[in-house]
Amino acid sequence: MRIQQSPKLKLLQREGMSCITMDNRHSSRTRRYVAVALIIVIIALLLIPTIDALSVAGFLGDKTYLLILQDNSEIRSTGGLMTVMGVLTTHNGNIASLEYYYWNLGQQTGIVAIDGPESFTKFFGVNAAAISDSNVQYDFASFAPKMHSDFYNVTGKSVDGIVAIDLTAIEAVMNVTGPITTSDGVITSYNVADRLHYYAGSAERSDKTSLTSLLSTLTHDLFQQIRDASVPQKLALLGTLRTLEAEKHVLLYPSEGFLFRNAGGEPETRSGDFISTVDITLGTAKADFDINRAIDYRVELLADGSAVANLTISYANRNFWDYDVFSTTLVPPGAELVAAHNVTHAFKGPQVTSGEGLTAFSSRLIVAADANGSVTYSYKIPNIVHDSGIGHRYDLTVLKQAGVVRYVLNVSVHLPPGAKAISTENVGSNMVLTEDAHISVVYR
Amino acid sequence: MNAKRGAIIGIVVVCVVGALAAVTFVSTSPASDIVYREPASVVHASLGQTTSDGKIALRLNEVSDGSNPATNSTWISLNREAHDAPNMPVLLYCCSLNPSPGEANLVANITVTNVHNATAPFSFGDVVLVSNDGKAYYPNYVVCGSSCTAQVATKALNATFASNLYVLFSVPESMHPAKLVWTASDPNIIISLT
Repeated sequence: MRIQQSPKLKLLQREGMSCITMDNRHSSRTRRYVAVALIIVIIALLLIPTIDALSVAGFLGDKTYLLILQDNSEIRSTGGLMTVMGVLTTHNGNIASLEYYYWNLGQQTGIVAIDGPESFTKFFGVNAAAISDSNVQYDFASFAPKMHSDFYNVTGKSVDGIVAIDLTAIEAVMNVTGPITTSDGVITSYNVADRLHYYAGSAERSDKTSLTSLLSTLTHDLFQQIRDASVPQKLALLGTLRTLEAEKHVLLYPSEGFLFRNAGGEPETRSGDFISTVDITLGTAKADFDINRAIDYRVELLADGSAVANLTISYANRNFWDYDVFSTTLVPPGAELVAAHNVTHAFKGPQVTSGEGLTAFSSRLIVAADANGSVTYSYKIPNIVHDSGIGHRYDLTVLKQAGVVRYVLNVSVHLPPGAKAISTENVGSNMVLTEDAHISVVYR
Repeated sequence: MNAKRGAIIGIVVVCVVGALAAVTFVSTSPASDIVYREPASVVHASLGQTTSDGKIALRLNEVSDGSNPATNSTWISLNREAHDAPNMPVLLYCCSLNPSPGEANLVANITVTNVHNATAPFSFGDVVLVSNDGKAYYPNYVVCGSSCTAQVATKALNATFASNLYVLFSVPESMHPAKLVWTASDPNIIISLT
């Protein structure tokens, strides 16, 4: 007996197209399987993150982490100045032990070799730094394995993994969990960043005991609040963590299973055309929350599959003091810098280096208080357009630096003469970029 | 059988939708909102009036928005003074008054005097700003002159201390301040802004 179960099937049959048919008994069994499969998928989707969370929390064996507070108001390659580091051991969802160190941990003995990137070592002529200043690699995934071994060499402490969080992450988590009362008053999502800065500045002695003890209180209480949170709060927290992970405010090495699979544990994928701006501020303290960054990219695709690109990186400094930044922009391998211009302020560079699968343009800019600064790179990129089934395809990935809160992104793509666009994705102006962005154009 | 299956699928769907709704609800309800509960016994004061708890005397001069040019100018000047002063025992970071999106920065100008004739404990964290809908906001940062900064940072005011403090509060953009509360004293001192 033929059946027509849905309007869609009827429609397909009316149009004379083939359709799947089945008898009633078959249909009933299939639907049962589908229902069971659906339930299994839903349960799995709920269980997998739970198992991950249990593993991270030490329910499936104790876990010891190097906890790094990256102060993203003072930006560094991997997300921020490594203000404070702590060693955290979790056991059955509790903190078994926690010890924080201020950023100058082992300043005298904690000097570690810097094995690149060349853009940094060549520009500054250095090959070693204090461990707290050693996060100069282009991304957390490249830095974390080195930090893992450096930390052991400096402190003798072995850890299972590294968790890096920044101030934006702490604010977001506290926005869900609520305030924490300490001996220094109530800390909320509104004041936590400034209060930590205040205590970092005012805490006496080089070990900054009052700062690290405040952080210990915050961590213990936050852990407790997360444990005691209601189910809706836990779900909200999970959603918040996923967002923070995508925006690179929470980074985890090595990648932990399904839940935190994108949390910085894997090197960033750079393929097709890409732009990855990696900034390091130089002695300008807590300035980066008041720096408005913009990326303006104009690329002209040529008939031979190459491109001519104009990239402007802008900094609007809203601080009442100057902003000094070492900016490295990574672009595809083989890119040839033609010119660097539009520079109207203190500037050093550009320097061109290359690395595995990339070309790096580096410059140092000093942007005056309440002023704008920018650098524009003009360069050629070979073989950046690929043939797709229906025409030619151009792909651009803009990688957001960890710790940076947002960029404004303006992208314009100009096709070869006579070409017509078939589809475009994310081409336009004033796009607010809080995570990596993908832009594509298909044309013929 | 069909009814049972339908019920199971219905329950699962309701659970998932419920969870999503809960996530949406919780994520749009900032947990940082705290309601200030006024104790039974308090001391009331008004703007410009000096009140004391026996150790510290307070006078709230003004609460102004950080975008106010005069407030911003004073704030920058005091930041620079504290930051650049030689031989400072503490080195505070400069802090600008630009608010985060959706927020406003309010600055409370408070004259603080030690009336204890001895060193008095003081923490700017004990100053609380309360909105007209009763929500409490806790301070972010404080600046004052260079000689004042060191004492405030160490939370101990010497016997002759008298200075204007500028206490920063980050609040939601729509927040309207109604009163400032000094919570370190028993009873609390509540200073009305009107």
